[in-house]
Amino acid sequence: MIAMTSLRAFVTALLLLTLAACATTAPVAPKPGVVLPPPVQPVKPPPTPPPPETKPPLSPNLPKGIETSGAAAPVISLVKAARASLAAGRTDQAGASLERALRIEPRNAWVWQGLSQLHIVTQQAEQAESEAKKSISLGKRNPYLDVENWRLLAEARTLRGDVAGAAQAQARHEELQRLIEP
Amino acid sequence: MALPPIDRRTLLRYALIALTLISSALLVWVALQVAVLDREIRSRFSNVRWVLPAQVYAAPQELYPGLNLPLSELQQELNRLGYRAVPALEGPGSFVATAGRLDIATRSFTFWDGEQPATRMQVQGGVDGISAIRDLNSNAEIDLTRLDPMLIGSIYPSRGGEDRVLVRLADSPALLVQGLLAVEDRNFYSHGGISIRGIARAALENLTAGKLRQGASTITQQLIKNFFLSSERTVKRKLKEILMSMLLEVHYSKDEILEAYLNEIYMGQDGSRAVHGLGLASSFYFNKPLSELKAQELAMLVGIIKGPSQYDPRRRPERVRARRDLVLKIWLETKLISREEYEAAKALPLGLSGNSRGGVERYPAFVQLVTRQLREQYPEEALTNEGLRIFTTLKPRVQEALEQRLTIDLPALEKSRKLVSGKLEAAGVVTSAEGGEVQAVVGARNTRYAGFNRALDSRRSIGSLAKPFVYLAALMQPERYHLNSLIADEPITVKLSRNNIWSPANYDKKLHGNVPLYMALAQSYNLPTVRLGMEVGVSEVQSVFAGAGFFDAPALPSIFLGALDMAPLEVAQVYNTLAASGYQTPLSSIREVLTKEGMPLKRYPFKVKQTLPEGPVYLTTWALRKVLEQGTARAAYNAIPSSMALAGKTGTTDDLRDSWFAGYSADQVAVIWVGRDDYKSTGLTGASGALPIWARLMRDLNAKTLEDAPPADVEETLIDPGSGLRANENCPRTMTVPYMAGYLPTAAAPCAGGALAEPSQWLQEMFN
Repeated sequence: MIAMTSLRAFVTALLLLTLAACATTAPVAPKPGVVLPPPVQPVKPPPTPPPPETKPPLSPNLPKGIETSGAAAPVISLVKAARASLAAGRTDQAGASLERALRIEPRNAWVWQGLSQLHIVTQQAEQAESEAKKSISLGKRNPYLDVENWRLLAEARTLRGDVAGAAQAQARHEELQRLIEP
Repeated sequence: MALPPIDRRTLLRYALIALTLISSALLVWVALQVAVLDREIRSRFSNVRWVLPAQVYAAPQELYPGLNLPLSELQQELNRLGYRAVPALEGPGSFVATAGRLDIATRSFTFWDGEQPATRMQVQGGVDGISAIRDLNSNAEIDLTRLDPMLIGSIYPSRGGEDRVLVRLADSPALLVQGLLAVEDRNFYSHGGISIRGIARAALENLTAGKLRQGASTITQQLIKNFFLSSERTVKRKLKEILMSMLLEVHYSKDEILEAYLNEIYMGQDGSRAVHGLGLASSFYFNKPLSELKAQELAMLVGIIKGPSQYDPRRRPERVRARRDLVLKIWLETKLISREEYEAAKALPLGLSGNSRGGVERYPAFVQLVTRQLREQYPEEALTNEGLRIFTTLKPRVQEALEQRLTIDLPALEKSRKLVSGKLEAAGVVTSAEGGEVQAVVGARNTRYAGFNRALDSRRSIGSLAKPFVYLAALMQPERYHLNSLIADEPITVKLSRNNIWSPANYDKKLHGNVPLYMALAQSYNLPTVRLGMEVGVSEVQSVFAGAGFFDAPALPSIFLGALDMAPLEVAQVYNTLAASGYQTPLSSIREVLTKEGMPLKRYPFKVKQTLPEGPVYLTTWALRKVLEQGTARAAYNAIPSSMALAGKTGTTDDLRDSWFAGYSADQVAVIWVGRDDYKSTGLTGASGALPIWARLMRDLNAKTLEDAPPADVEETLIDPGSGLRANENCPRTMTVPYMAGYLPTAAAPCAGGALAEPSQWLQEMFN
């Protein structure tokens, strides 16, 4: 059995080695003792894909806000408290509530979005941009979440003076808006 | 012999004049002295009446339904906070433990965002954590609450520092105040600062004894002594004391004097730190606030005021107990307590807190870090004098888990490896991945040692801990590298300068042919790492280090193998950036600072900035998981359950001088260093020294498993590990590998039918 497996592996390896010699892009199997082409095997670089603009049917299960996202109850109440503080202009208090929420659920995309909103208000553009990006990456491509994240990105980039970046983010924001509004 | 009458009269007149002059001068002199003393007293009292060191608190334990804190651990937390286990709920600071629930009477506490009043609540749950919390008064469900935070230390001047916890007379237990007066100064509210009878008695005693002894002093006199005077015993000092006491009484009310006394009186010594006042004495001896002390505990405190070194409760418990019982007897005689209370209190032991440090100065290594961060922003005096309240990020449970590991595992390691006992040193740091909060710091094998802090100050070569940053620099070029790129494990020489050729070798001195990139990292091979580093360039690797938060990596190829010195805390910083998916957060140990009145002064909001690209960081983390699954850290799974996915890296330096492990779960980063202060060989690799400690720590912390959640620009695909090509369900062995989107292998593996498309040449060659 072992012999069979190693034979098969050997043949496979040989097969691949040979292929590598004639083909241009195929990677090479590791096989000690065989001289190989340079170790770096660049794979055929396709054009960098911007996220494709598709309009898949939106899942009805997508949460439209943190209240229905399955977040823990204390996290939801802290985010609500933060919103109230922010509306009242108490930015320090809002920050404290959001950070407390983040300690409970460090990877909650809605909390990260709340932080980004806060730092737009306090004009901390770089931080707001990082937080919106983090929210996007943790948000599992939920357009209801991301529509606001791209708006925040556009605002943050405007604050930083990145006109092109802001326009790009604004475009993405509008796309998502069309997607979620029937 | 009689003098002429005229002479006598003249003489008398001269004598009278002289007497008047002398007494006037004396009066002026006394008046001047009094004025000087008066000013001294008033300035001392009206400005800062007492020096208040900044108080340092741990992070409060948050409580909410769904928290995976087993009730047994919550109970431990309550014990650490000095809550009393009682059969039925009493006042704040007590709890009742029954199966599946804990009834807790919490203490009120002023947090940064306001006061949380004392409540009585019921916490339900079990081994898995908390299932429900409700208010015992209103019966309402509680969403989220927190316990009062633990006082973990204070910042007082390093030499001869006074430490105290402020108490208000109005908040002090009545029995303490009445009991204190009953023992020390029964006529306090009626005398004018001194007791004539007491002084007369002392003077008589001194005369008969032939030397000066400690005379009976009023509360006022004792306060003056503590405030201004040395302990020398001279008539001059005694006179000064009497004079100042009377002056104090003129300017200040009895209650003000008594409150000052409660905060000023010397209550004991803790190394170089002088324990002043009953507030600190309460936590120093009983690890509880003054308001929660019982009769026998209050009696002990009142008893030892007489001479805290002579009556040191920890060193002379019998003598102190006798003194305490005497105080209780006086209280019985003065009807402050009933006969039943007296009998019950007398029967109880001293009940000192188990921790010899008595609830303060628990975690000196962490407090050092806090002090250092504060010194950047506050003048020294503000820290040691103004009673700032510092709220930190320390998690007592995490800190104690780390301390326990080092305390148990180092001696065990020395024993099992037959090393000289007591020579190994160690340090450790735990941080929260998102937010960069320092949760635990240990700076020495003697975990509560307040001296040299290796976690902050011992910069040692990091060895292979540097490798992930080399691989990350490569993976940031997806057009050149992916996790399955083959890297030659072959000898390599690097020309450092004209006469300096560097030829590194693998740790096992073997060559492994061509290895996939991820495997070269997992097995910590040196040669492929140097090859990769040379291909991407030193400056690229330097900038990855900078992105991770370390800015001092030299422009030398030797950094690929970790020839750079870092402290464990700095290592935690760079691994923290990896754990946070490329978002750098400067590590912080402080959340908020309040004034002594509880007013918010400053908040330290967390800062975050994306410094490294998420996709390549995700690929690096994937490879670091392989370190534990297949590579040099396989032994980790002897301690942690196989379902727990963690990422990390071993580090070993030349001659086995340093044994490192740095790694992370979904929400925590931990770094362990083991080595010797004299830089001699430990005989340990990263895998045999630091790794087992790290793995058991992660087990003890119940670490959260890493999620398989690739970011948007990463795609996963099924690969045939033999060929590194795309696999399908027909392939005997497959693995799922993440690639940067757009750079996935396109060719199918032979097992997936791919290679058979072009068989001619290899068939010919095979059968030739």
